[in-house]
Amino acid sequence: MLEVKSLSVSYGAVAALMNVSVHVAEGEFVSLIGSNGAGKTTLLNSIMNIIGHSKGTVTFKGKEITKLNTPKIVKGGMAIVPEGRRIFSNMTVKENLEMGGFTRPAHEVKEKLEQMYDMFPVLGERHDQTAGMLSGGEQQMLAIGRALMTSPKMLLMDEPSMGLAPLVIKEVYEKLKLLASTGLTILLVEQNATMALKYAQRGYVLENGRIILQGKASELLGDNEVKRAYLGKEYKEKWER
Amino acid sequence: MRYWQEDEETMPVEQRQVFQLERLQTTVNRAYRKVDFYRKKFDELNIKPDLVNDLSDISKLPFTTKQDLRDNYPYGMFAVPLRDIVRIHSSSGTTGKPTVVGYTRNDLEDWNNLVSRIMVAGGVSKEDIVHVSFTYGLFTGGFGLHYGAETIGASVIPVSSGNTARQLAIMEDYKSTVLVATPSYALHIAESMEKAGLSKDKLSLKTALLGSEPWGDKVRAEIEERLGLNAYDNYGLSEVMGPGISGECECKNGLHINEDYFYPEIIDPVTLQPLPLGEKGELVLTTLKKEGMPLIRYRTRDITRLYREECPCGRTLIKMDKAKGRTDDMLIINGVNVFPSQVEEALSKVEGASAHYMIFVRKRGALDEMEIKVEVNEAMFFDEMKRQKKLLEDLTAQLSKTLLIKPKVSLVMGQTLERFEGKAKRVVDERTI
Repeated sequence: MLEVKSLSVSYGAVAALMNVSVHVAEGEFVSLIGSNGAGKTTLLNSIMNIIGHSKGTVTFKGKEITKLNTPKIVKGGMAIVPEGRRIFSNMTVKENLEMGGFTRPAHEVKEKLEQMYDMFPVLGERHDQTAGMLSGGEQQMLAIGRALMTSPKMLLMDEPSMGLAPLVIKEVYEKLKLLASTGLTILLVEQNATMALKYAQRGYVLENGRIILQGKASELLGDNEVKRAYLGKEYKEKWER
Repeated sequence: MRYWQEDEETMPVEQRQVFQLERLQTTVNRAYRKVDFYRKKFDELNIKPDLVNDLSDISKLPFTTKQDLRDNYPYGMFAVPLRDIVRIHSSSGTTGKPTVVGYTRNDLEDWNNLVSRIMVAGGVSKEDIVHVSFTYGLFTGGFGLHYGAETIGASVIPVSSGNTARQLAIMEDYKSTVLVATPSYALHIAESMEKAGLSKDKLSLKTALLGSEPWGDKVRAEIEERLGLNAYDNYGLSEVMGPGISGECECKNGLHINEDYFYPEIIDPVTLQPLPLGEKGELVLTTLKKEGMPLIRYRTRDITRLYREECPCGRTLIKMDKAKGRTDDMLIINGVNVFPSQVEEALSKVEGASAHYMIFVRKRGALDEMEIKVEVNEAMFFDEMKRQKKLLEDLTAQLSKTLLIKPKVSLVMGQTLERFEGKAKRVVDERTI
C-alpha cells in the first residue's frame, strides 16, 4: 500500500531523516517507535508532502506520490491525524468533522457524519458542543473522525497517546484496532512503544533519523534493546569489554 | 506440510526486495553504530551508512573476512551487550584463532525457523524421528539442525558423532526416519551397515539432510541407493549463522537461499567485483536480521553461482548451486588452477568409477605431479584387467579434459582409502615450498 524508499530530510544543515525505508502492506497495522526528536513526525509530514525532502521516493497504491501536493495525496486516499490532535477548539464537533470532509460533496459529508457518529457515539452525543469542551480522549476520537471523513484507504497517526491517561489510550487503540479490522491500513508513530507494538503487526525503531531495528511487533516487544530504551524495563548500562 | 513459513518462502521477488532493502539499511545502521570494527572501517574508507539507497548499492560497502573476525576475537564483532547474547558458538580454530559467533534470543528463534524451513523443504515433518549424527558442541551443525527439527515438532535423537555400530543400533531400534550427517559419514554408515550384514530394509530411514562439506550427485546417488532414502544438501557456515542459510527442496536441483535473512552476492575472488546473476564466483553473504553479530559482505570463500528460476516447489527464494570448491583450497598444479571438486565432477562422468578418491600432490623433479587414487570394487581390481585398463584410460581422459592438466590416475582396491567421520580431507599436498 505504502512504500517509503530511502527517504532523507534535512532542516537546513541538520539531517532529520537519513535513508529511511518503511513499507505498509494493505490492511496492515505498522508502528514506528522512537524517542522525542527521532524524526517520527518528520517522516509522516514528508510522506504527506507537508514538508519537502532531499532524497528518496514515496509510493502509494503503486503510484509514486513523491512530488504530489498534499491535497492530491489526501484525494488519493491518505489521511493524517496530526500530533497534538490539532482540532479546531472554537468550532463545534460537527463543524470539525465537516472540515475534514471539506473536499467531498455535501451528500457524502452527510453520510460520513452519520457513520462517524455510529463509530464514535460520544461525537454524536456532543455534536453541537464546541470541540474545546471535549476531554483529551474525546478530542483524539474527533481528530480520527475528522481524518476519516475523506474515506481514506490509509491513516497516518502521529502520537495518538500523547497527553492521555492509560485507560483512555487503550480506548483510542481499541478504536484503531476496530478500524484496522474493517480494512483500513495504518501507519502509526509513537513514543509509547508498549501500546504501539501491542496493537501492530510489524514495527520499526527510529533513532536519530535512522532505522536501527525492525521486525514483527512481537519480536520488538521482546527485544532487550527496545525494552531498555523505550519500555523502561532495565536501566541503560554500557557493557564493558 | 509443504512450507514452514509459506508467506516468506513464496513471496513475490519484488515484494521481498522491499524487505531486503529495509533490513539491509537497518543492518548497516546498526553495524555502524554498535560495532567498533565497522565504524572504524567505514570512517577509514570515508563511507557513510546512508549510501545504501538501493540493493545494488551493497557493492559500495566493504567486505568482512574471516581474518577480521579473528582480529576481533573473541567478542569484538558483537553488536549487543554480552548479556543480551544467549548462545555462543565458535569455529574449531584449526587454521588460526577461532572465530566466535553470538546469538540473541531473537537470533536463535530466527535460526530455528530457518533450519525448519530447510528441513520441511526436504520433506521432514513432525511425524519424523530425526537422528543427528553431527558433532554437538561448538560446531553449529549439531545444535542448528537439532533445534530446527525440534521446532518442527519432530522427535530428535541427539546421537552426535562416532561409534558407528551404536549409531546403526539406534537407527534400527529407534526407527530413525531422518539422518542428519556429513555426506562422507552417511557413506561410512552405509558401508558399516553392509559390513555388519545389516540390510537397509531393517532401517526406517527415508530422508537424509547432508551438509558441511562439498559433495556431488554421484555421492548422492550412492548414498540414496545404499541407504534407501532421499538425500538433500544444505549449506551454512558458522560465522554467518550455521546451517539454515540454504537447502535443497524436493527438486534436488539447487539450494534455495533464505534470502530474506541473508543477502547473497557472487564476486570475482580476484578483482572482488560483483558478477552478474548466473556467473560462477565466490559467494558473499550479508546478514539482514542478525542482532548479535551482523556481518556485512562476508566472504565465504565458497565457489558457486546464483540463479533464479520458477521452481516447481513454489519457493521464490533465489537458488545457488551446490558449493563447488573454495577459493582457498584451490590447488595450483604447474600453474593450472585445480579444484578438488573438479575431480569429483570428472569422476561422476565416468562409468564404473566410485566416488571415493584422494588427491596427492607432490614434486617430481621441478614439476608438480598430481596423483588421483580412485577406489574400484574388488572384482574389478583382481580379475578384470581389461576393464580396469579401460576405466583407467577413461578416467585419465575425463580428468585431463576437466582439469586441463593430465593427472596420474591409479586404481586402488575398494575400502582402502581413508573414510572421514567429519569433514573429508581429500587432498594431500606433499609439496614443500
